[in-house]
Order: sequence, then structure tokens, then C-alpha cells
Amino acid sequence: MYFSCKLYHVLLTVAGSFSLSYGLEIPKEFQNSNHSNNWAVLVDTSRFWFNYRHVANVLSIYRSVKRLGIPDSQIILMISDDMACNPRNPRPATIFNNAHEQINVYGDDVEVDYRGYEVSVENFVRLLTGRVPPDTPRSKRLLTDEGSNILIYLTGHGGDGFLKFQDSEEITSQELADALEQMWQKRRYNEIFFLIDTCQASSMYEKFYSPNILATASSLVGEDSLSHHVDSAIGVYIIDRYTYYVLEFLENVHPNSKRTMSEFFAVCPKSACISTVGVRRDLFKRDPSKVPITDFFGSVRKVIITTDPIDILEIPKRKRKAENKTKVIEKREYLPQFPMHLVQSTV
Amino acid sequence: MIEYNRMLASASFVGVLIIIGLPLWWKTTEVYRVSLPYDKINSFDSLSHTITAELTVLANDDTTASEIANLIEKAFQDSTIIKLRIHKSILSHSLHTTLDSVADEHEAVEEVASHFDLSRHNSFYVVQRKPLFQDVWLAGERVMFFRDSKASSTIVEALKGIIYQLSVVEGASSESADIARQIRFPPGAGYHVVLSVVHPRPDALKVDLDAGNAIEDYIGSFVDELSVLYNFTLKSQWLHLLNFDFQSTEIKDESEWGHHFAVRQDRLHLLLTKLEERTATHVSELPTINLALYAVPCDKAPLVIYDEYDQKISSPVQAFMSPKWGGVVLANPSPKECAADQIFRPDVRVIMGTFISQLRKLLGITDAEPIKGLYLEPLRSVKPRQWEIDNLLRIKTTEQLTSAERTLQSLAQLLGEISNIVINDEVGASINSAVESIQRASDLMREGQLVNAYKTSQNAFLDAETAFMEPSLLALLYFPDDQKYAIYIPLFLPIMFPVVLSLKNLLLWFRGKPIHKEKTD
Repeated sequence: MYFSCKLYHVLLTVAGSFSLSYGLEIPKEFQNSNHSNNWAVLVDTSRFWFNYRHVANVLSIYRSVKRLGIPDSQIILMISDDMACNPRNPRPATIFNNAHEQINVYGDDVEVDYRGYEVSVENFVRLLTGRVPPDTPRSKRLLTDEGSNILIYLTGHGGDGFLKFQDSEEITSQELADALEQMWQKRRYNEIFFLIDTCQASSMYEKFYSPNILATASSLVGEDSLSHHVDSAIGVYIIDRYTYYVLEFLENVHPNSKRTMSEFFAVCPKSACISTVGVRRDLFKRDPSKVPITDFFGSVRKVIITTDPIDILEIPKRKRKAENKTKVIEKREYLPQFPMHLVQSTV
Repeated sequence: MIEYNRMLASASFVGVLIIIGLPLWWKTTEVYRVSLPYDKINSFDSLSHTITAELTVLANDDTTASEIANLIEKAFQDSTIIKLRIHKSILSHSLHTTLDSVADEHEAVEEVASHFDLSRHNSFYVVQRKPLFQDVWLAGERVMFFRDSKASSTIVEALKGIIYQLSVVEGASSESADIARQIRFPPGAGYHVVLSVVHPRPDALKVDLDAGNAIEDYIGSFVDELSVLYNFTLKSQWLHLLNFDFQSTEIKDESEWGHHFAVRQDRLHLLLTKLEERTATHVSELPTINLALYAVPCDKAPLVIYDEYDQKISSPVQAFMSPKWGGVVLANPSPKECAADQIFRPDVRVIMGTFISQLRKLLGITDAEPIKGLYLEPLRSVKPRQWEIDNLLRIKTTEQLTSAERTLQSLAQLLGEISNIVINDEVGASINSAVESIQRASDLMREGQLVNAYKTSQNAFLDAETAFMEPSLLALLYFPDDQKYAIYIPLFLPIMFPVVLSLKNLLLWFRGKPIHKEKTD
């Protein structure tokens, strides 16, 4: 049996058909993204040892975006529990994507920006909207601008219209949609790729109304997202199905590869995932089959060759203002431990 | 008597709970919100800003002056953003003769400068000078020379495309970012400029470069000219042992080396990622402009960039920049330096010239397309041209005003949508001050006081940013209405129920009617 999400089927599951709307064909020149930097916000919202697989999920994506070139300074990683150092982990400092220990997604260096109880709805919305307390270090801020492409990955336990954070609170799809709209209004992104692996995941993006968002989810409303397999050595399910196949796909993507987003949407067919992968592309202006995957998962930045250096003939000399260089402190020496000079004088 | 006491008790419950308690509860749970100038914020939509710029046409005779002035006026009529205030006059006889007799254009500029104040921001002079090899001549000062009235179309074109750069100024307020806006840094209070000298192989090559003085002299002199716009902080650092695999291919050629290493353009962005890991420019709160000098090790030198069509780039320096990030120069040592003393002395003049060229674009100075008939004197020093600074002021003022307006509108819309956002006195003050600054900056722009308008628009921008990003805006956001009911109903319903029911009895009692019907049997 697969470990399914905790049942949050309190609400009626809407059996409405999921419609995809395809935009008009856009001229070729608009297919190229004009983003100037890439950011990733990766969030695991659930605690406790039996949710080991969610940490494995989020670290799988972390590993991939880092390998594809997004620097740690532009990845915001939120993990609510520390599975690698959990006393129940028989192999400390490792998290595997597979019972056969194929890939250690924990890797050598993981920079977690928000951990434990810092992973809260409030902090998540503060992070997205930029309304962080003034003493927040730069590494914990999402310093995006109108040229930023952002990958948002969420995993945890969800239901129809909400995602649970930390067993104590939820973010609703409306709150998330409002936060994204505030980001758009404040020009904090160029494009967003929203990726979510929870039960009834597609309910989280249905309320979105801001432009330039491409969203995909591991399951439709009314479906559970299932875990892939159990590792009997650690006694828990080790990774979720959808992310397992996503990682498998991303492992074969290289920084200069030309894989497209529509290939990404097909990574987990229903036969493999059991749940249906949902895609929402009506807010997105470009055709996903022409968008390289590295627009979101990598950091391919625009490079402009400089061919017009200024031939400086007048060598400038700036008037030195008052020296504000740090003074090198004079080196001091220890006195000899035994006062030899006193001894010598008495001899 | 018992009846009386019971009613008194009941009345006191009603008094405490409904007459005192309800208003008190209402008052204390009210969302605090300072009154905001919503109508002003909403009216920003229709408020289009115009910048008035001074232009003086000086010609030898009256007909030429008015002909040129009229043509310029007509050309700028349909501009939505820049309004020219054109003065025309005839050159005084003495100036006229000196201008025609001096040999060099630069001397002519000095002559004009002795009669007119060229150091004033937002002014520009179009002056006739007969002995000119080209139709129009332009250098770094706020003067343009023209030969005769036949040059009028070139003058108009130069004013539109180079001096005032209408398309760029309009692009600063447009909805989507134009090319210049995609490259330049977004507005801010100031910038850090960090020069990182990257030295991958310190064991094999010694690099002799005084990075601190180089950035101070060259970049420092450049940013001093822009001190009216921003505060700059200059820093320099050395990064040793930063290994980056360019995946270059060796190609034999006729040069001194006998070969060169070709690196493809699409590999260069990975160097930026590699650099970012080490430069640690995130330590400061202000945005950082990165300048990186990569000292190519001898075993990989000379490194040559190949473009996407697999052609060698034609440039004296191997350099590239990344929008909103910074620039990189690949410094190749010469064969002699690699062979003999193993000391590499990079040519500071060339490297800094490249960095300045990159910095200009990153800060928003765009180089215009050349115009036929116009001679634009190439830059020979680090200093930007005077009219480029004026135009940068116009671009940035427009950009900051537009950004501040959008931020405030977005905030106003948000406050309308979500009712339990607190606006405390500080946020209210920021918003009010931003609104005031926007209006003042708009007035100053119309009056043509460019520097003051810039400073005011910067204040407006920073105030609007502070108001939008204020952490207290989210204070009550996670106490939605349904959760309020979850608390109030179990707390108040059991108490309020009997109190409300006793109201009926109280009313009856006041009217003197019997409360309990006496049992008839």
C-alpha cells in the first residue's frame, strides 16, 4: 500500500473538469525570456520523522537547481524539520531519494535559510512580499526585481484549497494568490514557475490571478499524491512519487541543455504517479514547449559582450579625501614569561 | 421587593454588557488605520509628468535662429514627456567673429562658456559656427555647433536621439521594461561598487596591480561626476584560487603566442555564478555593482571570446557584462610576461576604460546610434558628458516617480481588498510624505528644476518603498474573520443569550405590566 496524505477530505471534492486554456500563438521573438536573474524558493512545510519524504522532496529540487547554476545566495530554502540529524535516522547526515541509496540529496553543503519553527505562514508570506523585519539578513530575503524568474516549490500536507504548515496553521490558496499578486504589483518578478507536490495540489494554484505564472501540481483536486516506496531500514516512506520522477528527469538536465517545460510536464504520467499531474498555463504568455527548463531551474543569464571600451587619454587622479582606511593595529608582543632582565641585573 | 431586586440585577447586567461592554469591545478590536489620501493616490493615473528643459538657439542672423527654433519646437510638440522652453537670439558681434575665427572647436566651446553659463543642469545651447567640417558637432559640454540652416534636420534628430533620448525617457515610465531598463540597475539610495581581482593561479603567476588605487582614481573620478545622483561606496578585493573551467579550445593562429584559447559566449554566464559564490557582495544592504577582473593564467592565455556565430569578437579587450549585475574583464598576460619574470602587470588604463564603459550602461547612460552628418566627439576621459548627466537625471526622476506612484497605488488597492491591515502612524507618515513628494517633484519637473526634482522624487521613491515594505502591514493578516468567530461565539454567546432574553422582561417591568402570568388554576 502507498502511504497517502492524511485525509483532509472534509470538504466536498469538486469533480469539475479541469480546463486548460492555450493562448494564441506568440511570435518567435517573444519566446525568449528577458529575465536577468533566477531565484528559487523551496519550502517543506511538515515536521516529524514520518514526513521524512517531504524533506527528501525539497532537497531533491534544491540539489537540482544548485547543480544547474542558481547560487545559494539566490535560493531560499525552508525546511521545518531536520531529518538528516534526527536521532531515528540510522545513517546520520544523509537523506536519500531511494531505498538503494542512489542519490544522497543532502549532499555536502546545504544552506537552510529558514528552519524548524521559523517555517511559518507568516514568514513565508513575509518572504514573498518582501515585508521582512528590518534586521533580517540579506540571505533570508527574496531580493528579486522585475527581471527575476522565480521557482516556487512547495511540499507538505495539503487539502482542497490549503497547505498545512507545521501541524498548526495553514496557508489558503487565496492567501497565496494574494501574496503573488502583491509581488506582481510591486514588480518583484518577471515570471514564476509554481511547483507543488501535495494532496489535491492543483487546488493551490486555481485561485491565482496574477500574470506570468506557470503552475504545475502533482495531483488534481480530489486526488492524493502518493509516496514512491518505503525504506524498511528507516521505516518510513522515503520520497513522493511525483518528485521522485522529477528528480530523475532533472538529473539528466545540464546547464546548457535545451529541454523544455512541456517535457517537464510529462515527467510523471498517470501510470507512474497514480495521481494526475495538473498544469495551469493560461496566465503564462509563452508557449511552454518553447521555454527551456533552465529559464527556471538554472541560472542562464544574459551576457552582453563589451566591444566599446573607452580609450582613456587623461589619466584621472582623484583628490584623496581624509583617509578612512582601517588602521593596521601595531603588533604587540608578550613580555617574557620569566623576567630574565631582572635576573640578569642582579647577577 | 424581590421582583425589584431581580430587575435591578438584570438591568445592571444589561448596563455592563451592552451599554459599556459592546462599545468598549468595538473600540478595542478596531483595526487601527491612519486616514490616507486615497483620492490623491488614485488620481496618479491621469497625472502625466512633463519635464521642462531649457534650450537656447544662437545663430548669426535672425532668420536662421527662428527657422531652427521653429523646427525644433515642431519636432518636440508631440513629445508627452519633454517640453522644451526654447529661447532664440542672435550671437553678439564679438562672439560671432571669435567663433568664426578660432581654429579648434574646443576653443569655441570655451568662448561660448565665457559668455553663457554651461554648468547649469538642464540647459543646452545650439550655436551656429560657420567654419565647421560637419553639419553638427557635439562634445561633452552642453553645447552643440551647427554650420548653417541646412543642418536643421540633423539638429532635430540629434536632440531627439542623443541629447534628450526621448524613447529612453519615455521607456522609464512605461509598463514593461525597455532595453535600457533591462540593463540598468533599479533606482535606489546608493550603490556599492566592488572591484574583485580574480587570481586563479597565484602559485604560477604574480599579478602586480594596485586595485585599491585604480578603483579610487578611475571609478572614483567617474562616480564623483554622478554624485548629484547617488552615493557610491567603492571597495576592492582579491579572490585567489577561484577555479573556473572555461572549457576553451586551443586554436592555432599567427600571433605572438602561436595559439589562442576560444571560449564560447554561452559559457560565460557560468563564470558569473562561480564569482557570486565567492564575492560575498551580499553583506551590504545596498545593491552592489560587481566589477571583476579575471587574470587569465599563463597556460590558458590568451583567452578569446567567441560569439554565438562562432566568430571572434572584434574588440581590443575581452570583456562582457551582465544586466543589473556588473561587468567582467578577462585580462590576458603577454607572452613575455608569462615567459620571463612571471609578473603580470595588467594595463590599468585599458581595463578601467572597459569598466567605465560597462558602468555607464549599468547606471543608465545609453549610447545612441550614430547620426549621419553629426560628429560626436568620442569619450577620452572617465568623465561622462554633461548632457548625459542631465538626461540621466531626467530618466531617473521619471523612473522613481513612476515607481513610487505604482507602489502607492498597489498599496491602496491592497488596503481596499484586505480590511484587517493595520496602518500605523509611521506608515501613514511615510505614505503622506511620499504623496507630497510626488506632487512637489512633479511641479519641480514642470518648472525645470531638474536636480531638486530628482532629489524629491528619490525621497518619494524611498518613502513609498518603506511604506509598502513595512513589516507591521502583516501584523493582523493571520487573524481572519472566521477565526474571530471561533473565539467570540463560545466566549460571548452563553453570557449574551440570557442577557438578551432578560431585556424582554425588563421592558415589561418598566411598563408596569405583570411579568409572570399568574397561574389560573
